[in-house]
Amino acid sequence: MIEAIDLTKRYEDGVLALDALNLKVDVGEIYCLLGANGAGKTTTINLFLDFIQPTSGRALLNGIEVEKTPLEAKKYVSYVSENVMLYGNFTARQNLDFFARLGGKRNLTKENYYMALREVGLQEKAFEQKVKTFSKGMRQKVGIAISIIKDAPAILLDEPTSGLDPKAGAEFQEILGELRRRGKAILMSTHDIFRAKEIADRIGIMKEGRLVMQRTREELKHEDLEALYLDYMRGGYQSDSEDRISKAV
Amino acid sequence: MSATVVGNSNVLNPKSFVVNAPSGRSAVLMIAGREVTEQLASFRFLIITFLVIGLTPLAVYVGARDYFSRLGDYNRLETQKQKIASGDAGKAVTGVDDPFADESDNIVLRAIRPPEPLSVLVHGLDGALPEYWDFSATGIISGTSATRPQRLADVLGTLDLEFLVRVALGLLAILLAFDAVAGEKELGTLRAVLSQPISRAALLTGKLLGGMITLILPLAGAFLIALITAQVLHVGLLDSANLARVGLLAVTSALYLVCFYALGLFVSSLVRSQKTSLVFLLVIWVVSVLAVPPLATLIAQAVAPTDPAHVIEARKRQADDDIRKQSERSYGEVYRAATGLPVGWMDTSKYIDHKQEIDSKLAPMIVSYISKRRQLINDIDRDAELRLSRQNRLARTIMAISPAASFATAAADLAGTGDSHYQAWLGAAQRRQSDLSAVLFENPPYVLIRNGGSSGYMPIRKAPALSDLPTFAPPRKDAAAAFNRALPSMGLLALFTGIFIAGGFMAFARYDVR
Repeated sequence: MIEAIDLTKRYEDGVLALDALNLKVDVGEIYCLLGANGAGKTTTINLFLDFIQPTSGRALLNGIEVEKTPLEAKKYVSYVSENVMLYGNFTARQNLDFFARLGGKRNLTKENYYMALREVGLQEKAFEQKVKTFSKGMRQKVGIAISIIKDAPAILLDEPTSGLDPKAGAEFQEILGELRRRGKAILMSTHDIFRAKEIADRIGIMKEGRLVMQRTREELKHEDLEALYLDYMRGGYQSDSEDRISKAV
Repeated sequence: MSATVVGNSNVLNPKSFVVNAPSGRSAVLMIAGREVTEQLASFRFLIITFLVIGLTPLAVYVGARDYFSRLGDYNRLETQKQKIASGDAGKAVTGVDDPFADESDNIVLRAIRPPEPLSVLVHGLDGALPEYWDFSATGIISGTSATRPQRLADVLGTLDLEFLVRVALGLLAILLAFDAVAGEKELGTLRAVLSQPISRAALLTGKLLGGMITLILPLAGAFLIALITAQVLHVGLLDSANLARVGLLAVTSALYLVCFYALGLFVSSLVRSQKTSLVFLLVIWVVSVLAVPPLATLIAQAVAPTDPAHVIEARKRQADDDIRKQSERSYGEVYRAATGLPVGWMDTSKYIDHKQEIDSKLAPMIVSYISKRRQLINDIDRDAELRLSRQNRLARTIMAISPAASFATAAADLAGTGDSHYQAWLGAAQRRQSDLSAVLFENPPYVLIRNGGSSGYMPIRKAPALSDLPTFAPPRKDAAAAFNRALPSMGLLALFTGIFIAGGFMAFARYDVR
């Protein structure tokens, strides 16, 4: 559903932000990308959204190459960012309505929007309140409700849990679990190792534009992810062999 | 958590996912609708709209008082002319009377310019132009410009609908557009919108359309209020010819606002921060709206100076004076030789006794004098026209860098209060002068003959009645003529708009949304 094939991005200033990334997220799977700032996580997401174009390689959504037919590819993806991007002067419901219609949903009723907002656990009284009064957690919920309404099979999440309080983080985790159950392919970039370990079906660690490690949930039962991550960040480990990463892909 | 599924996908079978991405047109309308909803509720929109709507009746009121004052002048001048024309001066037009004296007989030839009703919307030059032109053998004499007795009009003379549109609504256009791209980028909503299946072109088109709709609302409100106020004050703007020009004025105003909004989108798509965008746009606005129009005129006047019309007319009369007096003395020599009268004597009956002999000798002398005079006056006119056109060209070239100056020019041209209107009146006066020269001044019924210290007008032929002379044709002021006059400025404004829109699309296509 979400697939990167030798995806590479070199910026005009020569910086290699992403180096031949190979990655595949299947339906009903949550894939967490871990890594320090500048490791290439957000670059990967930007490439899937056509915000930037790859230097080489391909980014595919539902088998559609993003660079070639971005509008077609973006029909199949929802996106939630770290700072959920909503129109502050619109209410939660109005934001939902606007983005739902942009995403191609028509003829939805107020009740449909309320259902989605209930589903993400937003308080009823906030449905018709202007979003500019919302906390980050509340805006995060509206962002997820937009994804639920669009109902796209692929979801890209860029640092969605940073800045959330523990309760909001736990609620968010619960919603992600539900989305996985519905068969969504979810690619999430995060710094939150513990959350990633709890929720991810697979975890990849990125460093300097390269995917240096990849583990399944099963594999991590026998390994200490935090120790692995820190070791990779310190440069103590060599990258997994190409074979191992390809095999995992 | 509820397990209700709002979407329509079949779990674990994403191929069943049905997508109805919005068409380009409906995406544009959605974006435009959101822009309009957001902007109509914004503080900047409300405050400036309130200001414009509040000031419009005052502006029209001041303009109307000024207009009626000038209309009073016009009616007085017309009555005076009719009175003189109904007497002897209208039955036999001599064309030789001293045009500078009060109640001059030549007033029957006077071209009187009525004040322009649309000056209540666009004051322009209407109060500063001559109220009439007189015609004489020695050329055109411009009348005085209108008086403005109201002190309110002196203070608020520039506060008209055109000013409110150019300054206040122009500023609103910029304030609505400066954060359209850079602001949404900072907010993050640009990424959210572009993560949906809509193109950048559709997004920018939607923003442009939304901005246009938002700006047209206060503009339409201001025009409506202006028309109502003018109607209440009995300024006749609602007849079809005037209304058509008001319509063109409204369309040009809308084009101007779109121009500034498109400029705002362009700049907003070039920079990464909305603060930078605002600073850039405010500087452009100040230069374009407040600095360039007066500076262009000042620079042009300094670089290519011209003499005022009255100085040129005085120069023509001065130049003519010498050869005219010399001719009159030569005529006197012919008169003396034919009549045998001594120097210093004048007797019309003696002239009539020797009329045939005198007239036959005078005829080639009159032709020679007129040809010399025409040459002299043409030289002065050509020199003055060259200087003026050089100055105008320079001023227009400098003003061409400012969309606000183009709008001001177009608005005044449409309202019939601009420089082109003045030129049209001047052209009509020149045609009138040339018509009258052919039938009257260069074939004079009377000739002044100077014999030493005495002089007298001798009747060469029967003076024509006013009804036998060509009538004055004032310049056309219908919508089509006004449109033709405004076309260069409107074209320039459209060009600016086109460049800004194209620039905006090109910049936004490459805009880094990260």
